Amino acid sequence: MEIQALQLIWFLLAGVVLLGYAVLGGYDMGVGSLYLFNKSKSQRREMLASIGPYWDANQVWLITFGGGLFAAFPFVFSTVWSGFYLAMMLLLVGLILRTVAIEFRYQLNTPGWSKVFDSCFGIGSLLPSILFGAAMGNILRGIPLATSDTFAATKVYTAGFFDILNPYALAMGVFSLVLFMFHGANFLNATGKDDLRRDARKKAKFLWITLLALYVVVTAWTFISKDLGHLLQNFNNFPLFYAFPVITLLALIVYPLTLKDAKAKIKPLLASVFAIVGMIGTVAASLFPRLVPNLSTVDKYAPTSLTDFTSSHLADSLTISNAASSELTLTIMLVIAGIGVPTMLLYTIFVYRTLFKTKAAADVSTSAGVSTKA
Amino acid sequence: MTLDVLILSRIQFGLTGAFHFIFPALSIGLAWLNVIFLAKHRKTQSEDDLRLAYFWINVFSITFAMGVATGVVMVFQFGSNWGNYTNYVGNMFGAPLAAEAIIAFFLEATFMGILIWGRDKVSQSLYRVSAFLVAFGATISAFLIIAADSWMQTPAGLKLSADGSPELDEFGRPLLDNFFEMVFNPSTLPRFTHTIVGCMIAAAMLVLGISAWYLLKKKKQDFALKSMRVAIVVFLIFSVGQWVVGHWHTVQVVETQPAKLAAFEGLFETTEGAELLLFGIPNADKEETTLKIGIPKMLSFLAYTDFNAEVKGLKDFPKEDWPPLLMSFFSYRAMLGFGTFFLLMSLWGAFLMRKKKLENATAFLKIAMYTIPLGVLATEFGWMAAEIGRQPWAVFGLLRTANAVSDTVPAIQVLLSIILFLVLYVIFVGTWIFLIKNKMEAGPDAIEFEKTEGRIKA
Repeated sequence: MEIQALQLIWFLLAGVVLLGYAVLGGYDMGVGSLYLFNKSKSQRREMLASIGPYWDANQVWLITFGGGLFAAFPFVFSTVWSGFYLAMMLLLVGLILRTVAIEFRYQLNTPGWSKVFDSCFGIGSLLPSILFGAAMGNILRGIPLATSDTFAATKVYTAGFFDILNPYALAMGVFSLVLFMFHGANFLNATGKDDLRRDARKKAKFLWITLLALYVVVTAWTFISKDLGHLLQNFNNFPLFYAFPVITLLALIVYPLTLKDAKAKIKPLLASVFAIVGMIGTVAASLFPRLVPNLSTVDKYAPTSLTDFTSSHLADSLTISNAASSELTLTIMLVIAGIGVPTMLLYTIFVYRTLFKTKAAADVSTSAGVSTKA
Repeated sequence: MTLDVLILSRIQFGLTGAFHFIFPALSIGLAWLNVIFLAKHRKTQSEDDLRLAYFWINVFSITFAMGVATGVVMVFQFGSNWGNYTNYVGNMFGAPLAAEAIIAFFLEATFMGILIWGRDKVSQSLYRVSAFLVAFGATISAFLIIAADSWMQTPAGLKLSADGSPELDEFGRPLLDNFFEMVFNPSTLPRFTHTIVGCMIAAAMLVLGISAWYLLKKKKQDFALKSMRVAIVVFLIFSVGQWVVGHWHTVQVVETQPAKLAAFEGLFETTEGAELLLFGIPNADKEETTLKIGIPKMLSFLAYTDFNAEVKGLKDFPKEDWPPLLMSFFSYRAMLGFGTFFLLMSLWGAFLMRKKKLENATAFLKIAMYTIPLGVLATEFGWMAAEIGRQPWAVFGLLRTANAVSDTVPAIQVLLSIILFLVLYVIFVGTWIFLIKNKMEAGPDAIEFEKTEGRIKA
């Protein structure tokens, strides 16, 4: 296969994996953050149980994203992960806290134990939710890159930790937190029992209006700011890309309608899924063919065709061409992903179906007054 | 030695790796023991046997969680701390790492959901299949990460130019030539087998030691004996097998990394009929090993099956290519010492089991209980010997560790992350031990059943 085709495919695959994480890891991160704002003991237990069987596999999407970047775009993996060093470490701390909390929380029930692991689960979900958005905001904005001293082919991040905390990235951090909480509330509405569902719907409404407001603000910011013009280039040259933000907007506009029926479980969840699909699509469309734009030279060049991603104008940024692995590596990875991912999707769907079926059966028998607990 | 990014990153990787390795070592072994326990219940269909399986699955699941928590850190560190390693090996090393996530992590994580949350809810056969798939996934994951790690020991599958040096792409990175050769590089199979066998020993010792605790307390004797018998059989098979596998691995190191073997053995001069040291103190400055106690000619025999064969000494290699001697020498010896102990201990256990004297063998039970950590420690020392013995290379012969570190990370940030991880890990490892102790005291009777129709019996 042509090397350029491979690079394009891997760009799309990286997007799909990120989307997989945002949709799946997104709801369990959201449930974790909402956990902080729910004081009911029984509902909290239900919340944690609702993601219990799935969160681990959901997190594997993130590991796949990291591993996939290492394999397909190693220069991006090294530049971003070392550039955002402290943020990455904080992300890891969050992930450790919530992993341990999810599995340990209900192993014991003393007050101190509950309190500590409740906080670990909540904070361990809230912190990564913000960091994902903040990292994305920084990448979109572009980061200062310079040629590496030791490995001349690649580029290194040249600013400090506090440069990560620019207003645009922080706004994106808040945005991703609200997005995941909104998505998590819709997940709870789809899977919870009556009380939890009612609470989730109430919160979802509030989160929805906040999200919509933030979406408008961030979009307007992107359009108005002089520093972010590069994000619009692709949309100007290929107006079809506007489909992505339109999907998000439509999903958000339709959302209240899906809530009209108090019994609706899947439709509101689908609305937040589509909102996320549109957002990841928007991000991919804004960046292409760059993966990490160079802040200082970012707005100098706009690709005019979808196959134009080796132009020397792009040399200052990390692109899908100058950050990619060699042809054979990309080909072999494609074979592995081509066999592995469909297989994984098959058994994942099987396990979700099995567990939902048994859960539905258990819910029916409890509500019929037949306790299943011995 | 100044605390620069290089040394701090090495400390961090070693530390986080050492903590992480406790958990996969135990959970890979426990995952297979779960399969055995569930298979036993399939035959007997007794509630006691199901309780027994659930008890160990519970111990397994909290151990597995710790492995997940500490595992993501390992993947991320390649990018964050070892940026130039990532840059250099991108064509080679990332693929098995990504494959590990796609093929193995998803499998184990997904079916873990059924193993923990599907108890009494899914059919017995699906539950057993899930336990098997978790164990299978964990083993595949071990294979792929060890394949990747072995590639760092004995790089293969690279495109070579006419003079035998690796051909570099336009970015200065070695090119992949043959994926199969890379994954099945000369050290992959011996190292994978050696590690899995070590994991089985570590888990068997955990089950053995916890069962011993019950027998000593005269609590739940029936449960403890049943668990212990399985543990002893597994312990014996793998403790004996480890010597065969370990030898296979040694012969491979002799062939592919002779400087590493010389460091393990504290051998400075190239010697015919080299002795196998039981003890000694290698001194890199004076280029000699003092206080030697050894078995004459044994090393030559073990390496080449010939008592008079020539074994290469460190002086045959440039000094800048020597691994740190003290640490590789002693971690290798500690591993061997533990291996000897495992062999004796498992033989003793098997003997007591045959004589049906396990429950009253106080000395054996006490030793079994107090030596629970040794199974894990042996894998830790083996791993240290392997990776410290690879130094000063990140990729043996290709990339020095000093050139593998990230360019722009400030040392103070790495110091900060080391402290963060250390604090978290110490607390959580303590909590994990506390929780296991708690599960032990509660015992298998504390496990709640949901006696829905047909789930336990069918």
